Amino acid sequence: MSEFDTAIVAVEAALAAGARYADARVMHRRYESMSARNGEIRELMQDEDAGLGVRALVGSGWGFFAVPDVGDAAARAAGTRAAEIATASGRVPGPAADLVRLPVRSGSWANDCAVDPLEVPLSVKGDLLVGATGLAHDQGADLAEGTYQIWDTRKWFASSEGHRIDQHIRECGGGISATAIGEDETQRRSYPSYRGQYGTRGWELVDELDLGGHAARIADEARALLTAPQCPAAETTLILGDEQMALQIHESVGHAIELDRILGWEAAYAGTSWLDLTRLGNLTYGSELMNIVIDPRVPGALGSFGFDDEGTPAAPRYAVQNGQWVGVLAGRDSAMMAGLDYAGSVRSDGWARLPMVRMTNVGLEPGPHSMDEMIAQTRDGVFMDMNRSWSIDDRRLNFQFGCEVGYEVKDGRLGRMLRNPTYTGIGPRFWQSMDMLSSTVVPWGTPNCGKGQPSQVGHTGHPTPAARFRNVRIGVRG
Amino acid sequence: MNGDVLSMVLDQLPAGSEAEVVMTREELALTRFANSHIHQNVADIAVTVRLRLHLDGRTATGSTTLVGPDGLRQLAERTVAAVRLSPPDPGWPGLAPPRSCPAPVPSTTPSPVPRPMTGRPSSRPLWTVRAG
Repeated sequence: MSEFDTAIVAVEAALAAGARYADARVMHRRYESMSARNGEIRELMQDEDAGLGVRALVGSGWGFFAVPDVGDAAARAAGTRAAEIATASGRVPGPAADLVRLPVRSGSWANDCAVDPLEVPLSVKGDLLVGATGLAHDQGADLAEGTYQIWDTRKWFASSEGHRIDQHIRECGGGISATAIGEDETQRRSYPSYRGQYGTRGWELVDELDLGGHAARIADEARALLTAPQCPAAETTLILGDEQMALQIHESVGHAIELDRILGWEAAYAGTSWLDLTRLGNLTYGSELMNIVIDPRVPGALGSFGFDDEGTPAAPRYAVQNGQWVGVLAGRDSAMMAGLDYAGSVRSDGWARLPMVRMTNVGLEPGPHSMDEMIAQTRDGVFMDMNRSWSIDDRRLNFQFGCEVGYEVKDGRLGRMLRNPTYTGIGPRFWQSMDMLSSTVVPWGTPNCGKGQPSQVGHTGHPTPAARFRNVRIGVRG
Repeated sequence: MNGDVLSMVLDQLPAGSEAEVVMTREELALTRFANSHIHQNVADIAVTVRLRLHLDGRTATGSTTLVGPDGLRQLAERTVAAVRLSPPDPGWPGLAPPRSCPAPVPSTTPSPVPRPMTGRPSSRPLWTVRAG
């Protein structure tokens, strides 16, 4: 029995048990990660899982059931059980549920992958981490750490509307960090970002990072931070590097535009959103330079796919255009409830989890400036980069973020290194203060986005340039 | 069945191995309310076999939900490959020797509901075996 056969059996069983719509995903996922510390391998994990998840709609009630067995009898029972759970949901009904229209699709999709990361010998991957962390340790890092992660996911999707879609998504990435321990505090520098860089690419992504080539530099910078002056408390001009911009977009735009949060569905755990649907198309989110695009097609970015987990083909859409809020991340049911005619942003963390609204690639379009121009045109300010901490309220409005490193900007030039740089703001006010935007975009990947109950970990991409903001509170303590 | 699964893993391991194999079956059911209605109602069954392998003072772990012969053979193969790459621990004392396990004492507290719809009601290792 093929994977499609299994999914179809489950869908047919759900329909026979009373569902008016059903879909099913067979998924097979392999995961590998390795970490090293101070020139020695610390941990190697290799996991594999496979199973079937079935979603059924009875009346206006949803049900979901998943099993690790992809045999005929188990698939049939899973479809029946999903419909029974949906029937139970209808005992406490909400508004009438329906799905936005979606043309029936059959298709296959796989991301580009030059070097299969699971085929690279473990010894090669281990040597890379041992070498890079050994170099950083020898250079003076008290704690030099490195890691890589690999996901290889195959999924087969079938729906009662006739969808038949299979996808093969390979993702990987990695990074290193150097921690220096001082009298009263520790300082860390990471490369290429906090936790590393990840994408829907093969091992060539990790090779291109040249982890060993940056090990000595981050060790030197971590030690230098221990004696650098503290970032001052002030209201000033702030330039954010592209890595920190990815976090800024993820937390204060990406989560805020998730339609399930806007509708209140995630209030119990992940939170809600400050955005009000009645203002969609009529709310100033940021300055005219702010163009946020939802685009799951970006080659190599971590949030890329051919189809989401409802079978909607990947397509770009503006979330913010010339500073105006114009779009959301939506699924077929949430979109219908909100009166929208598009979906395409629903994914699940494996076969055992319900697909839910998720960021894909949520990125900021480039601007007309260069980093050199942003610094040259800043008389007094601070440049910060590389995320170290984040805190934002459950409506995704008020935030305080910390970075690994800052630099004074005085009279158009970078000055002294600053330690413990932080900044704070209120989402729309902050974004409206953005007045310069770099023309160089980096597709940062976030492999650890938590949301949902039961908990799910999502992979998101954030292509973004560096940017400049005016009148920002920095050096916030406590 | 459970004993077969464990044997299929242990039979793949090289001589001198010490291994811990844990097979876990979990049933999860969760109902979420939002805006005064059920907006999410999910359940799943998960069966996982986790192998922790010790060889020559080195340790590696792996897991799978594929409990057929191929899945278990691959679990053993990749964990053996991993353990050979792992650094030796000079202080590794070896696994504690096997001991008999007392029979579980039946609970005297009745379950509040026959079929819980929230939480993670059933999670227990079925077998823990030492090999080699």
